[in-house]
Amino acid sequence: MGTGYPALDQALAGGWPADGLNEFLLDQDGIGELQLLVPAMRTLSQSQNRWIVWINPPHKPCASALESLGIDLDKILMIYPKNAQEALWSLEKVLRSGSSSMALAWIDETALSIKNSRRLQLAARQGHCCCTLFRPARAASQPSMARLRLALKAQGPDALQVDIRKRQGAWPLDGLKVTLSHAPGQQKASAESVQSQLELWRKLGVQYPGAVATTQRSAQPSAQRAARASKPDRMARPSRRLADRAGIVH
Amino acid sequence: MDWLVLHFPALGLELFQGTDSQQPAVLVEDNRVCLCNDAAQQAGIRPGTTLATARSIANDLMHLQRQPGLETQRLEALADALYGLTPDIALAPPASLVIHLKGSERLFANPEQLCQRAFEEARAMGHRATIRRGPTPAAALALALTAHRQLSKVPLSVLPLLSPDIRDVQVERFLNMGLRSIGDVLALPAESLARRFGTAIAQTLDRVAGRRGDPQTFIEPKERFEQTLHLLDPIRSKQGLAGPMLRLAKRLERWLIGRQLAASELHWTFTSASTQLQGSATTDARAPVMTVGFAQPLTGARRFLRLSQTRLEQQVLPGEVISVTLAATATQPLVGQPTTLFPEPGMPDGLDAAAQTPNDLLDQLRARLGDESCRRLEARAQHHPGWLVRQPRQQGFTSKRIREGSAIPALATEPETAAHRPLWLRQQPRPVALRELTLLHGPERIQTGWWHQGTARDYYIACRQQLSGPSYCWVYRDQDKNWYLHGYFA
Repeated sequence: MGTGYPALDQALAGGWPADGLNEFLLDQDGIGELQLLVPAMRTLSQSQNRWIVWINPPHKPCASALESLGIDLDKILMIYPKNAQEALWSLEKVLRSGSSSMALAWIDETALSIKNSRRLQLAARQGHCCCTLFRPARAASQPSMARLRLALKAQGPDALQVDIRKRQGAWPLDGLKVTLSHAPGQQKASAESVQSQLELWRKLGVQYPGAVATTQRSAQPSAQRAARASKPDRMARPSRRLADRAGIVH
Repeated sequence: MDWLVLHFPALGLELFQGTDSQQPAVLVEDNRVCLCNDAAQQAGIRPGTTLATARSIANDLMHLQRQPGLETQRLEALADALYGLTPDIALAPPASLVIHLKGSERLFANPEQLCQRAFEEARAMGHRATIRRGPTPAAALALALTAHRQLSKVPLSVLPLLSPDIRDVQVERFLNMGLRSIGDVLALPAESLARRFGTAIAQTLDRVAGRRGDPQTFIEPKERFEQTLHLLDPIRSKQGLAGPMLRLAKRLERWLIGRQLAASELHWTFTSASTQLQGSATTDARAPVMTVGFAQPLTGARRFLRLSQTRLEQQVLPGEVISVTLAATATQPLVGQPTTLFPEPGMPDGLDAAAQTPNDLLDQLRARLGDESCRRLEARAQHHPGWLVRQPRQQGFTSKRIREGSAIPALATEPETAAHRPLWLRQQPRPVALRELTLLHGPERIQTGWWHQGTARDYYIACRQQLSGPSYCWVYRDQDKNWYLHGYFA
């Protein structure tokens, strides 16, 4: 199953293992760990009638973001167990059932003994499920039955440094750089347009950044519209309309 | 011989589970025994003896108060169960059912088959039945009540049971005249009989002989399943409840199959001795209730039981349970489940066909973790950022058709103005200092809910410097110019 990242595909001999336990070791949430899984999740959600299960995620996944990345939301099952025991039980049940194609789990470190890790690995193999456990970086020193262990570090906002601690059929590999495909950095061009817009505002006598909110201006002037609206009266028109509406309401 | 009567001689005792035990048990009304089980009969207890006498005969006697209301309920439940055999069933209280054989003549060419099936149905519900056929309802009833084979030999003591207007004294007068059986009395001229013994007797005999119409009111089937099982011995352990729960689940299964329905929600009520003493008004309020829902409507008793037991493990029982009630609160027409001959394309090889369906898995998780723990994601056309983190309960899996070899549609290339949303959203936005951030994109004003605590936020995509390295995040500034961290581009 391809990961969607050529560098990673090459290092992992074709992509993620089709079933079994994988581990992501990272200390900081939100560095791009989900984006590593998004292409695979998209493929599985569109090609199989099975659940994609998230157990106890640390934050809420954004539905519209996942949908815009081509993931079928109807196949996503979020599970919020009350404690680590229930989390382990439900993860094993999910893996063994054979009715989920992918599982993402955040499980309390104290509950993940080598014995439990072995149970999860066997269950994932039996149920043909690709399970990813998210663990802190210090768990690298703990023994684990996972077939694949990746330590993730941010390397610039658009890239991840992936250290392969364990893989099948090859030695560990350090310092693999993976450039993330769906990072907002793609919109860097628009960062410049922000700057040009700020310049424009400065010319119009609007202070950055405080003044926009206090004057209740229509604050949606996207970069293009701002570029088009070179005359100040055009900028002012929507705000007047807003003010009128506010007057009716009050 | 168009009429069939099922009489349940020990209905009052069989209401309570476990009457086939070796312990003598009697049913008591007005301090007198009115029904005894086999063990009590062998010990020498007869109906009519006082409770004190019966106690002196058998030491370990168990006595139960007669509960006519429960008997009627059970009789109705039995009629409901037999409704699968014929539509023409009438109640004949206290403990008999009248069946018109014409109602299912085409289905059962041989009435013996119907008798056999009816007997088995009653047995499955835990009741022994005496079944007799007769030319009229009254004749069949007289035969079943006395367990006789020939109408002419039926003793006259049956007459008070056939009509409430006939008293024992009138029967005594016949006996004094040397008339002992119905056959003897039927041989007498009817008109003079009516003149000497009153119209009640004449009318009853006319009904038996078929000289007078005897209209029966047939039952209407119930639209809702709700049955209660009363336990002879209170049950303390959850394992002990498996037996009664299975019996109820089996009854529900038959009820559902008979109506071609499937249940999507069950309601269990466990009544304890203490709650029942409070009186019927408070029983419902105090009794612990357990609701089990199914993502996919089911009919199988075993699966009802398995999921209900998983849910029961999470519950606290109120001490000793003396009765269990099962109600099907939501039912749907039974729809055939499409299955595939060949494995679905895209599924991994070697995944055995016996694997659970996605809905089975969901049911098991919900039974153990609770309905609140299983959630779904939903993209709403709603701009309020608070809506982004709302996750409604997961209701079930919708299977979608997957064609073999079809390419997964490519991602629509987003126009540059399209909103770019982070993958992770914080449940509660966290205050953040502006100096940590490098704003890259924005502002995107999200303003909504002016009718109710309106929010106006300017969202920016920013790059945040941290110890572990820079990462993208989604920040906003509210109207008070404070900066908050709302999401991560994970």
